[in-house]
Amino acid sequence: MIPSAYIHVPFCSSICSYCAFAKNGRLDRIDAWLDALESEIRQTMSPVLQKHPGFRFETIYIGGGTPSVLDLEQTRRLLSLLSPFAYEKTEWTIEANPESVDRDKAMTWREFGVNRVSIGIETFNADRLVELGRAHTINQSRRVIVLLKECGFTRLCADLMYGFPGETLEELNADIDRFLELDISHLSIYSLILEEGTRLARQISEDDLDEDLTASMYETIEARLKEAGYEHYEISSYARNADYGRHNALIWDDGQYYGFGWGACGRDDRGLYEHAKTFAQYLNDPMAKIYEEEQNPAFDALMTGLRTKWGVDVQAWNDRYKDDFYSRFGVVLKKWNRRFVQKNGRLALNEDGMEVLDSILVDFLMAQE
Amino acid sequence: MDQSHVRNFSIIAHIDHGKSTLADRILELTDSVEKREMKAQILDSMDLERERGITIKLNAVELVYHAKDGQDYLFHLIDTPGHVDFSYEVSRSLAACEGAILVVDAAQGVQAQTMANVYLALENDLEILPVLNKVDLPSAQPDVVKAEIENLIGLDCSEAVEISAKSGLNVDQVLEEIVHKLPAPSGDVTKPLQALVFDSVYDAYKGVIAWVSIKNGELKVGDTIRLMQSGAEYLVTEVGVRTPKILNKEKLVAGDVGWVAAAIKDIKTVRVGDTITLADAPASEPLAGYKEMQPMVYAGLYPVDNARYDDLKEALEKLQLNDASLQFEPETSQALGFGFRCGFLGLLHMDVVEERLEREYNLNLIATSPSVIYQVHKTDGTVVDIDNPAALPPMQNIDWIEEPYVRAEILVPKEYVGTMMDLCQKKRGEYIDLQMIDDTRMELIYEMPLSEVIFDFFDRMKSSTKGYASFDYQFSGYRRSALQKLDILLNGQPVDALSIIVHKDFAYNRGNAMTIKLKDLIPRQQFEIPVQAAIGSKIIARTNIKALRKNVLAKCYGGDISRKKKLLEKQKEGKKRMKMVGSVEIPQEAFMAVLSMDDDK
Repeated sequence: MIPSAYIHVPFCSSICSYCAFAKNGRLDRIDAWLDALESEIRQTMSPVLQKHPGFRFETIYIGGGTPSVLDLEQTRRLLSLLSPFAYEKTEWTIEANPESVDRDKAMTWREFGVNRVSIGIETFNADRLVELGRAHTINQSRRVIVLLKECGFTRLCADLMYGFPGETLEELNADIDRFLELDISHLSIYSLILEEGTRLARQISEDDLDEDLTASMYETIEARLKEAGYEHYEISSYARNADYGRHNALIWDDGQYYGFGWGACGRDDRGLYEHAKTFAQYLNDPMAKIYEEEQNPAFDALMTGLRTKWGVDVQAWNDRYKDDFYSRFGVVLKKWNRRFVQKNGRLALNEDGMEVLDSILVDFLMAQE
Repeated sequence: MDQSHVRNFSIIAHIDHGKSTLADRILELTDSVEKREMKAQILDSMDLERERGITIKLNAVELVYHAKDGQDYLFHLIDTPGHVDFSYEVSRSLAACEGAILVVDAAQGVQAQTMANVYLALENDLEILPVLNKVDLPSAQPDVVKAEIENLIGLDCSEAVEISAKSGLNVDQVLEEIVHKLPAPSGDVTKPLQALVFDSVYDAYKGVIAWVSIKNGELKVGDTIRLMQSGAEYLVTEVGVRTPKILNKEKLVAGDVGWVAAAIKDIKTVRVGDTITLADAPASEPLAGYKEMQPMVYAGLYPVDNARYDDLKEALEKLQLNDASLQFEPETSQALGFGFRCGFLGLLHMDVVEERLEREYNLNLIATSPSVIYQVHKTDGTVVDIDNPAALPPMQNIDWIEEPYVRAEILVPKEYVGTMMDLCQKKRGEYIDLQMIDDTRMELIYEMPLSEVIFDFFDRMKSSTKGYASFDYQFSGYRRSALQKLDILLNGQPVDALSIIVHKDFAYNRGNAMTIKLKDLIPRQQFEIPVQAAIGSKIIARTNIKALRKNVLAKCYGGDISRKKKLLEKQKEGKKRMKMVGSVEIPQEAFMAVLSMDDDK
């Protein structure tokens, strides 16, 4: 049984300059999309319910795009498609942008069982927000946190971006101060990345990003958040009081998940899949799945597993992929030995290792040949 | 067909003057290729040739032309390369012909290789038919160019046909000229067989296939042939022509140009330039072969994966069959392991060989930076030839070093003469002469060190004259120069494959440019890597490759896995092409860094 579901809401009221996700600005198509999504969820879940009456998800994650651009009625419709599969222990997350959340919407989320909100704050520098093409102000960022807390949400997460062209450590430190003031249990941090095909990638080049400075920023964030009581449990995730994002933790631990909606990716027994390429094709055939051509699930498990402080369960990996981890990858472990930690049958990276995960992963790929 | 109805000819031209396009039109007009099979550059069968739009290998086809006099003529058309690096291929083709069509671009006029190719044709006593191509271009000046050909080359152009190979305009007239102006071969079918081998290829099923021009006698399936140079004898299994489809025949006779297969597995017994005769009725003399082309440029070729040394050896042997100017012998590098020192006619030739080895033989190679042959006069009175900088004796054992010089003849529009002279001076050139060719162009002659010419001279010449200058060069002799060996140290260890020989005055700049370039090319690794340039024990330049600190630190949620994995796969492919030298991973292109660096920096 697949314990998780990801629902992709591919709509935004404005497009951020750095974003490479599937999205569009045609909010007038939301209703048609909801029709297709409803059909997809019904057709996918009916056989599951027949086999396992009373089936419930462990985690549901509504991401985007911007799920909060849906109006109240659309929000209700979306959540009602999923609420039959949620129970009190389900971790149910929704992503939101500060400018499109109001009390009614937040209360609607609560009403249906959403218990975690991830807010795209990104930075408290007003000029940077404009540069990035974000539609919110720093006051809206502060207000939305207060509002969500008032509505009873205890599990809140904010995105923090760093490594902007020209950003200094002073600027970053000031930004961290503002994020800490929010007093929330989870932060997702990530450096600005130039993705092919984005507006930002046309405006600046890799040369505008200082590799050493962003490395220092990463380390600064790590030190300051730890000091403030956050635990660095995954490369880009920090939690207080063990308030880990369970949905992503399951994915990182080699888990399976449904992907619903155009732009969503899922993973089942046949591997990783996506939906039809274009939005129109999805509306036409919401059940169409495109599986990854060259699959390498044994590697996927390492690529995601090594991102977390818990690492990879070596025995489980051996059993699942019918291979011997230590004999296959001994050379990689030897080369990077100071960056690995082994505990309780699990292999994980230390802080130094996490910083150069990609280089280590390339060596894993080489060793697979 | 009667020999009087046979015409053997080549098309010669400066690069891009439309040689392969004209060949395409001739094939169409002789109905050799059905329209649906026709594609541009049909004779250029290598992918590499089509991609680069150049001809690398000669190609021979047999065509039947129905002439206006009502009779059929058998044409053997031998297509040839135009680049200076491949003049050897041209001279081989020409030896198989009686005539040549000289194609000159009516807009660009005579260029350096137009002249070089004409001289080759004249050396082979060929009848030359000048043809002006691209006359439909607005900038075409056929009359001016005709006068230029007459003045520069001394060919009568009063009847030169003006064509557009692209549109097909007047190409039919060229065919008639071939019939009426080019001589028929004059071989004697009754004499003992003399067949000139002008090319050969290896076929997995048929063994070596030799391309031959039958000068006298005849060659049949079932004959026992002898290769006069090697003495090897074989039973002929198949003979035929290419039309351009491969077509088997019963026999080839004097005047024919075709191929012969004889289950030859030992590729060393067939040398291009050799003469094939019959074992039981041999000719008394072999035909005059070709003058052996001496390689001008040497570089090491190494398999990235050392286990593939034997594969590389076999590939080089097979390629040599098809490319007689390629030379190689085993060498060992401390940094790169076992490989071969290979001799090439020029940098393009080197590039083509490397790419063919990688594509046709699926090898992953490292090429070291090219070198010329230095003559090293040692203090003990002996002289050694050095084609690998790493092999240079210690400086205290050297009296002096001589390096090869070439005479470069550069045709350049007047307004760029100054720029061109600056460039030649920078390349340690010595001014010899400057002459007016016509109202707009001049011929500039310099003596220059070959090592300076092979590096980036061609590219710089093209870029500083907007592509208008053209040049050709010939070896002119050895000269004494103040040369030094520049070593590169990575992580404190000298890397022999990165050593170069430089002129004393350039050593500092080159050393600096090399270290900067290597810093850019070598990715960051687990530890900091000093990059140093040294003359003897003296460090003259230094920089550091900083230790790897971080990779991309992005989020990775469910939807990102596929995309991220693709990026990592790409990095892996790059890494597979790296060589581990000591504890440092060096990408292939770093070994050629000297070619891409900017001295002026």
